[in-house]
Amino acid sequence: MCRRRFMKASSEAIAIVISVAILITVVSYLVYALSLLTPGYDLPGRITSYVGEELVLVMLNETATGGMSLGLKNVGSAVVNITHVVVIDRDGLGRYIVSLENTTVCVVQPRTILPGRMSTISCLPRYMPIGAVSNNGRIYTLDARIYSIQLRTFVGIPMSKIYGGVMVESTSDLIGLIDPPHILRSGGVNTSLGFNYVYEKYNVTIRGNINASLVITGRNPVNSKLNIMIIGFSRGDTRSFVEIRDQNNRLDNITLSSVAPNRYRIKIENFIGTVNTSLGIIPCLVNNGTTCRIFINGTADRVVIYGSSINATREEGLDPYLFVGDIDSNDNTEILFITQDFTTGNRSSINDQILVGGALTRAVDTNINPLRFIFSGQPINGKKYSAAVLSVRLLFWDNSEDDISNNDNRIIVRAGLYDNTTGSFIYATYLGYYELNRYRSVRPFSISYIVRDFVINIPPVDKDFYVGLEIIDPFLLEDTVNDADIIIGIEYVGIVLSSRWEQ
Amino acid sequence: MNHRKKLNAISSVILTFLILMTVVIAIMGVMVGINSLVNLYSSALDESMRHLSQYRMGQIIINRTGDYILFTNIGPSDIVVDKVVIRTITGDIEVKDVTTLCDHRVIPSMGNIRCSFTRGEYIAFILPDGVVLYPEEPLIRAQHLVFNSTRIILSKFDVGTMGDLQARFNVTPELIAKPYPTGRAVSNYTGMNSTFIPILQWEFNNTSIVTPSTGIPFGIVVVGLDPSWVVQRAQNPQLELPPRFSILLAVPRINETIQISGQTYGFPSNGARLVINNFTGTIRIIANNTVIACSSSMQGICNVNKSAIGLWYYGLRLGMRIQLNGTASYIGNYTRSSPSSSPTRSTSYLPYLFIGDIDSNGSNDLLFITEDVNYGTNDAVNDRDTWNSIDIVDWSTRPLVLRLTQIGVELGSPDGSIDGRVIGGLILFINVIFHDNSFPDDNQLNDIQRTDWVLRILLIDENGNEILIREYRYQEICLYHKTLVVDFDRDNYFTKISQSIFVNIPEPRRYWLAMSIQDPYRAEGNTNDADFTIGIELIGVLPIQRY
Repeated sequence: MCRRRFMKASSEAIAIVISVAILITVVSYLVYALSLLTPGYDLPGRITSYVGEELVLVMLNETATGGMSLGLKNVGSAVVNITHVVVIDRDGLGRYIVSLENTTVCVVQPRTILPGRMSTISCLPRYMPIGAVSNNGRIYTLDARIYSIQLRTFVGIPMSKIYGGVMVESTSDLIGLIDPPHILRSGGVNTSLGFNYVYEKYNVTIRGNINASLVITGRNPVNSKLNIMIIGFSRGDTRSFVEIRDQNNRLDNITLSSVAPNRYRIKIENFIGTVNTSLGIIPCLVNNGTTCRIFINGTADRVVIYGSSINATREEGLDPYLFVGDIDSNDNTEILFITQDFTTGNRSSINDQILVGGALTRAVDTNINPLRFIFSGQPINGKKYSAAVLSVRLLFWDNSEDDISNNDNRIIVRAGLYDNTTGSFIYATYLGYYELNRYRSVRPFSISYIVRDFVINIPPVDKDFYVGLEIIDPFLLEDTVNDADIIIGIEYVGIVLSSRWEQ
Repeated sequence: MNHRKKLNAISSVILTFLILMTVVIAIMGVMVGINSLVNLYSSALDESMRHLSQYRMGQIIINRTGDYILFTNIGPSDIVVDKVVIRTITGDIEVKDVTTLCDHRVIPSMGNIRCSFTRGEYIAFILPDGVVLYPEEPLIRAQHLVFNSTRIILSKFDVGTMGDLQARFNVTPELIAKPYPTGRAVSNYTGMNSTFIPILQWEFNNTSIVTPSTGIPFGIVVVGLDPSWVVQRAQNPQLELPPRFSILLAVPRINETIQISGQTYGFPSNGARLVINNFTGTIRIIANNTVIACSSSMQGICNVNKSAIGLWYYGLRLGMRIQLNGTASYIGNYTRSSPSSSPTRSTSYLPYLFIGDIDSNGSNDLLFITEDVNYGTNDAVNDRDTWNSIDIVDWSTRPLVLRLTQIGVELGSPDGSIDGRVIGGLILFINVIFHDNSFPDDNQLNDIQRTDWVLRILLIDENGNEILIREYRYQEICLYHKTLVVDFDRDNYFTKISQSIFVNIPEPRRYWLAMSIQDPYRAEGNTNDADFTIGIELIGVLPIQRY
C-alpha cells in the first residue's frame, strides 16, 4: 500500500520533471534561437534575389557627345538596385568604385531596374563606366560574348542647340559670342550720323518722357524683366527727358533735345516698372507717319544713351545697334541688329531720312565689319563629323518700299563652319537681299520668321571648327539706291551632326 | 523504513535531475548542431559567391591581329595571370607560364597583353589563386549594332569627268552622248533642241589653249575648280595642290581667234560653246582693258583680289573679255549649227552641263546652262545675239534624270536603291542656284507667263515609274536671282537657295531617289523664252528608319 503510494508519487514527480525539462528546453532554445537566427531567416531571401539578379552590360557609343556610356539590361527575374559604379580614367591608370549616394561623377538612370528594363550609366567625360555593383553585392561587368558597341538609339534626331533659349540677357553678354569683341566699341558701323556716348549708369531708377520713332521691347524669359531700346529724335522738342537716380541718390535730368537732337538710341536693360509699350518691334514713324511718346517709370540694371547732335559721318562700335530680348514671348531671346532709325524710302529717295524743324536728318548706317558670332561652345572636329545640318531661325525687315529696285542682291547673312585659326569660313551658305526682302512688308511693318536649314560639308581634317554666323547691313548710300537700313534678328541656331562613318 | 523511504526519495530526485539534465543537454545539443551546420553551409555559399564574383570580374576577350593575339580584359579589375593553357597545332594540351608566351603577366582593366603564340588555341588562363578564366571570342550580334545614330548622307557631284555621270547617276546614255555632226560618227543622242544646236565639231586631248593677251569677248563664262581637283583635294587636305579649273565658254560669232595646240581657231558660224576640262594655267576677266578678276594655278601671277571663279554673264554686252593661257586635259568645241546638221535633228545635254566648284567651298556643283549671250525683256527674245542678229534659244525635248545612287549605296544597296521596308522616309536638304535672262527682274513674270517646272525631286520604282516629290517651277525659283549685275564686288546673281524636303518612301518596294531638270521654254513670240542656269550643289539626306 505504502509502496504503491510511493510509486505513484515518484511517477508523478518524473512526469513533472520531464514536462519542466521540455518546457525549459523549449524556452531556452527559443531564447537562444531568437538571438541566433536573425541572419538564418534572411538567408533564403538573399539567395533568391542574388540568384534571380542578372544584368547584361553593353557599351553605348554616344555619338552626340563622343563619349561612352554603359547600358544595363535587366535580363533576370528580380529587381536590381545599383549602388556603385566601377569606372576607369580615360588614360586607364585610375580605377574607382564610385558610390552613387554622394557623387556627381556618374549618373545611373534609373538606379532601380525592373526585369526587362534598361538603365544607363553616364559619367563625366574623364571617366568611363565599365561595371556596376548591386545592393546585393553582385558585380556586373561586360559580357565577352556580347562585347560589341551598341550605337545609342535616339528618339528623334539629336540636335545640339548652338544659340537659343536664354543664353544672353543683355548686350554685354554678347561679348563672349562676338568676334572680335572690340567691334562692340569701335570699327563696327559706318554711319552718316555719328553718335556720342552720352550717358551710362547701372542700378538706377528711371523716369522719362521720350519722343520715339522706333521702340523695341523684349522680355527676359527668366525673370520677366524688360529690355527696351528707344530710337528717336528731339530737335525742337523740349518735352523729351530722362531722369535717372542712382544708388547714391544722385539725380541726373537729361534733356534729350540738348544732348541728342538729331538721333538717340536709349537702351534700358532689366527694367521693372511701368512703360506704355508692348513686346515686340513698334515702328511708330513707319506705320503712323508720326512719332510716339514713351512714358517710362521704374528701375533698371543699366541705362545707356547714345546721341547725335550734329550730322557727321563717323565709324561706331556695334553696341548702339544691338538689342537682346525675347520680343515674341516664346522664351527664346532674340539678338537684334538694328540700323533702322526713322522712316522708309524708295529708289529715288534716301531711305532713312527725315525733315525736322527745316533740317534734314539722314541716318543711314552700314557695316564696316560684319557682326560675326562664333559659337565656340560646340567644337566640330572634321575627323569625327562628316556633315551637318545647320538650322537658323531669324527675322528680317528693311525700309525699301520698292524692294529689289532700290537695292542690289548683296549678302546679308552668312552661316557656316568657321576656322578660327585662319579666321575664315571653310564652308558657308548665304542669304541675300533678293531672297530676304520677300519675307517682309515695309509698310505697314510686318515680318515673318524665316527658318533655314543649311546642309554643310565638313572636310576630313583633324581640326576643330565652329559654327559661325555673320550679319551685315551692306547698304550705306549710292545716290539714292543701295541705302536700305535693316532690322535683323536671330532667334535660334541649332545643328545636327553626322558622325564620320569609316568604311 | 521511514529513513529508507526518505533515502529512496532523495535518490529519485537526483536521478530525475540527472535525467532531466541529460535530456536538456541532448536536445540543446541537437539544436546547436543544426545551427552550426547552417553556418557552415552559409560560409561555403559566401566562399562560392566570392569565387563567382572574382570569376565574373575577370573577362578576357580575344582580339586577333595577325602577327600576334591581343587579350583584352574588359572586367573592372586587373587580372594577374599565372599559367596559360594552350592546345598546339598537333593537338597537345600544354600548360605554360604566361611570361613565356605573352609580354606581361598583368592584364590591366580595359587593357591588353600581347601573346606571340598564334599557331594553336588558347584554352584558359589560370590565376594564382586557382581561378580559371576562359578567353572568349566576342560574338558580334547584329541586333546590338543598331543603325540608328544620326547620319547625314551627302550626295555630291564628285565625278572626275562628265563621262562618269552616266555610271554614278545612271543617266540615260543618249542624253549625255557626244553630239557629233552627221557623217562624223554614228551617234545616238537626244534631249535638247535649239534654234542653233551646239554640235561637237572638234575636240582635243592634253593640249595648250591661249587667247590674245587682250582676251576675247564672250557671251557667258563659267569658271570652276575642276571636279577631279576638288576630289583630289578632299582626299589630301594636307597637300598644297595647285588649282586646276573647269571652264565653259559661250561665244557668239566674233572676228577674233584663239590658239589651240599652236593652231589658230576662229568663231565663225553662229557662235560656239567651248568646254575646257582640267585646265592648268591662268584665267583673267578683263573689263575696259583692266583685269578685274584673275585665277591661276601658279602663285604670284594674279595681282587683283577678285577670283575669276564663278559665273560671268553678258560679257559682250558689258564690254568684258576673257583671257586664257594654259593647258587642258580636254577641249571640246560645240559649234552652233542648224538642226539639220545633226543626224537626230537635236543635240544632247552634254554641251549644257558643267561640273566644278563654282564658289570654292570644297563641293562640286552641277550646272545646267541654256544661257549664251544676252538678256531680254518681254518685247524681245531674251537670248538674242544682237551683234549677229540671231536668236539662240535652247529648250529640252526630254528631261535629264539623275539618279542619286550614292544614297542607296550608303544605305547598303549596291544598286543605289532605297529599300522601302527598311527606310520609311528621307529628309533632303538641297542647295540650289538659279539665274535667268529675263530682264528686268520685276517684270520677269510678265515675260515668262507659262508656269512650268525646271527642277524636280523624284522617286523611281523598280519598273521605272516616277513618283513626283517636289517640283520647282520657274515662277517660284526665279524670285531669288538678279539677272544683271555690274557691281561684281558686292552684288550677286544669286545666293544658294536651301530647301528641306521630306520624302515619304512607300512600302514595300525599292526606289531610287532622283532629280530631274529641263528647260521647258522654247519661245512663243517674245515671251516664254527664258534661257537659264540651274545648279545643284550638295544634297544632304537624313534617312528615317521604318518602325
